[in-house]
Amino acid sequence: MRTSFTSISRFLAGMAAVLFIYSYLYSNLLSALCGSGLLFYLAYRRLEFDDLRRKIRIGLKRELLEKVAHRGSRTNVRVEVRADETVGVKMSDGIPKEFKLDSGDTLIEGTLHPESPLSTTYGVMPQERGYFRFPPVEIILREARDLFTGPVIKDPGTVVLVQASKRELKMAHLMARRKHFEITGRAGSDLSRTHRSDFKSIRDYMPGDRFRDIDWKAGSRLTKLMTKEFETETNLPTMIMVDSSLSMRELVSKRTKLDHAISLAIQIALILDSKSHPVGFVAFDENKVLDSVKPARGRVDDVLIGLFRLPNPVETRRYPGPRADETPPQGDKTAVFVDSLGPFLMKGERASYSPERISGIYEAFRSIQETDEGHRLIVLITDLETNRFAVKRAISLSLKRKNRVLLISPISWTYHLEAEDLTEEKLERAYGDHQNRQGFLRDLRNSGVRVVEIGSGERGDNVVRAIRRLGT
Amino acid sequence: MIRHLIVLYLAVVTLVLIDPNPLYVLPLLPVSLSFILKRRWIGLLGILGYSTIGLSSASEVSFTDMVELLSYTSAVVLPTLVAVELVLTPAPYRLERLSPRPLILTASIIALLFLALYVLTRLLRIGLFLESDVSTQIFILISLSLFFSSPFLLSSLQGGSRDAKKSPTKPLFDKNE
Repeated sequence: MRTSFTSISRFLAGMAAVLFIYSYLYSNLLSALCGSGLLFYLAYRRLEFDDLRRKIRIGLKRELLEKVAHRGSRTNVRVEVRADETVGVKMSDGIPKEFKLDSGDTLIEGTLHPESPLSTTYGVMPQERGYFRFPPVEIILREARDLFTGPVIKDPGTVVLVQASKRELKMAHLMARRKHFEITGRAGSDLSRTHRSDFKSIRDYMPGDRFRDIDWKAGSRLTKLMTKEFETETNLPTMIMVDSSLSMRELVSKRTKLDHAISLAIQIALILDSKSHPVGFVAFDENKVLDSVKPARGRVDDVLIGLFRLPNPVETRRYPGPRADETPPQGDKTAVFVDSLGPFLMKGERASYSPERISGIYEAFRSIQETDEGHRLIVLITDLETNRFAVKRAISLSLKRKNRVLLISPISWTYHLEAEDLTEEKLERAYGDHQNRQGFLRDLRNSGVRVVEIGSGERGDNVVRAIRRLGT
Repeated sequence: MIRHLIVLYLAVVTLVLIDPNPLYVLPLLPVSLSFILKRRWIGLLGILGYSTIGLSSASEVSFTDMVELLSYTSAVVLPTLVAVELVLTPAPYRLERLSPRPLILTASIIALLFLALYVLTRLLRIGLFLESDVSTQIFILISLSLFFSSPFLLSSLQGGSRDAKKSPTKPLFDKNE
């Protein structure tokens, strides 16, 4: 915490030096005394300033004026500095690099009195979603005569949770109102609720039919009892699984696949909730489950909050593409056994250094199955890049428990390829990856998984259309 | 008002005590102007000019005549330093609360300086060490001034603020605010 000289104090020191030289050259003792006096004046001021710095208590308060911060929307921040002594201060509030200053000024400069704090209000525009911490602030204290300055570091520890953009949320709500979403067929689980909706047909009365289902008009016309049949709709508990691994969080052109996944998950959750389907959510990364909400009616807010709290995007130098050497686990029987059993033994307690032994997805499926006897709809959003064979194995386990699985898979290259950055080598690589991927997805489709591939511009319509009528 | 009175006092003392030539008090004009124009640089340059040009006639003052030296110091040098303080202080001038510790410390080191000078002039009288040359006296004065003041000017602040040393009695920000 060094005390620094200002230009005025440097000038005074220079003035003393000039007076000393002058007095020496012209044998004038009074000028030398003036020079000495200036030096002692500076020393006194310095001592007084250091004393003030030891005594003073500085408080910094930073608050967000809006309760909720959204990406791309202005959020106002108010900063206030207080002190129990009179002192000159100058500070510029720092903002996270993911934020852009939108309006106002972050600078606070002036004399701080105990009874009158200084403050400023400015607007910032968050550019990304996630948790962000404001950096510590360096407050420069100025001596009363502006001869010295000294820094004080203060950190109010402001953490902001930036949620998805208002536009995305609005779009999700609009779609939830517009899209008709139903699952027909009989429920396979006691937890699921089945109800009848649209008229289907008329048939002969059979003993045991409900009295209110008898079609009296048709009965009088045909002189026999007829029973009305209705379509059966199921309220199927749905679990939205969001892959939050590194490849999903990779930031490219100010957007990540995870952001897109969150946007789609919000839309799906709201649509399902509007039709009274119980919605739950589970997020996982390479090693563990990050957050989960059990499916229940009216808990869509918990699902949305969980989605908003997913990890921050990460910035990498450039997109490396999927692992070219990714092959199905093979080798001797011991290795296959360890690869298959490893993830279940780890239980997400250890980081996995081998892609074949990642345990996040297994943990996620395990967390679903702990409280569930199957017969659920599982919406899995993953880019299939972390370990697609683990995904396949986990899905097949889930299918055995009579769950219906819908896989929504963002195509990575549509996020990363840019027209001006196209090279022959990249195109070849993208094509090769596409071929591999299609083969993999074909296998999944054959095993009964509904697969929806999405690009970077997908707004959710196709996804909702694809899952509108999931017949049993 | 007190600022202009100090400048006027310096002008009168210079004319009466040092030299009746009005040219020597001309550098005090920028000092007065700086109070009106609120430009500290002009005032400091004026004081620098006064300390060199205005006091150039008083070249016969030396440590050998302590009475004359003290009278010049109290009549001219100290008011000049007050003028520096007035130039640097933002208007309106208020006598702020003085911290006793730095004041005592600075007074002590000045007293030490004069004690050292007194010892040296004693040595000068008995002719053991110094000749009665003003330049040598000035050299000793400069050396001692630098010796006494530089440790305070160039030291770095030790220890933290009061926040770190003891818990505050009253929080600066009320949590319920």
